[in-house]
Amino acid sequence: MSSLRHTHGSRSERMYGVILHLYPPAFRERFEPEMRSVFAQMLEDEPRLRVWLRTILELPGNLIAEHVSDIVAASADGRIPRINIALLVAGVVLLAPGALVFSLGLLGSMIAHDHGFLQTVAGGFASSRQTLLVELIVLPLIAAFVNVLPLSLHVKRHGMSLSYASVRESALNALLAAAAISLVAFLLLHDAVHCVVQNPLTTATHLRQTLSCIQSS
Amino acid sequence: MSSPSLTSAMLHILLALSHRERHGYDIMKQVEEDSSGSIRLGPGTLYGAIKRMLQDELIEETEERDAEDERRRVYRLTKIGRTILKQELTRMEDVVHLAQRRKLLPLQSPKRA
Repeated sequence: MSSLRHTHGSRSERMYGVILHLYPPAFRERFEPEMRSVFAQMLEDEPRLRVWLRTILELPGNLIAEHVSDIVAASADGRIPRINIALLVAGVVLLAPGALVFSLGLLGSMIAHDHGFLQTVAGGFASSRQTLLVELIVLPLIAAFVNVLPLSLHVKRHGMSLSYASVRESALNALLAAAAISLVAFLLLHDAVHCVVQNPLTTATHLRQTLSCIQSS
Repeated sequence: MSSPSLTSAMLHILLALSHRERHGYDIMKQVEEDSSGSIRLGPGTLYGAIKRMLQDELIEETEERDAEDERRRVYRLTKIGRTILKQELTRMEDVVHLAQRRKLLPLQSPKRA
């Protein structure tokens, strides 16, 4: 029984060690061994479920508090806070299910020839299944490629020591580039560049007419 | 002396350290006991509070290492920490006296078991 309990404890401790990577690097470097020790002691004295409940329930608030505190302290010292790569990865992982559901919704919409809300969100001026498929696959691939380029440049310039300001700068560049390329590709795909180019001044102010023009292209 | 704002967790940690030095888990258990189980700190909350109190110099780390577990560090109250704790308790006492004068609390509060 005790060996079973120990196995569970060890597994829980390893999982907790992974979770600790979500904290800011400076906090983790200072307190990780102690926090692991406390967690192990809790597992010995209390039911595992209760320990996990307590740990998980306090996690979001503590993560936010520590990251805000890290950024505030860095600003006060005139230094750049280090970005927690694990938190970025966790953010992507947490967003992935939502993105997947959204994509499946779009796919379902495409298969059913449903010209409802989701298809409209996807840029649903597509007149054919192939066109929508291109929008769903080619444009994200282009956007991903455009995002990889600034990231590569970033790593080349700064190495793996990412900082808040440099990542923000790279991410903004990548986002703008991806948006611009996606827009141009979309317009080219629909042979609708003229709708924007013919009268650039009214494109933004007469959005409805511009969209109608693109739709009829 | 300008008093740093104390959270409930911080106040209880200061109280737990008021009569002897302790390591993290020991603090956690003492806080639970002192609050009759109403405050149960997790490791994240505990070390978040400890970090702030170290920064504010309310507590300090001792040289002592726990023989049972080398990862444990032992903390104790500083002079500043003791002063802040007294100030906070006096402030709370004043609030209780005010509440008693306004008959919001009985004059002699019943003792906890």
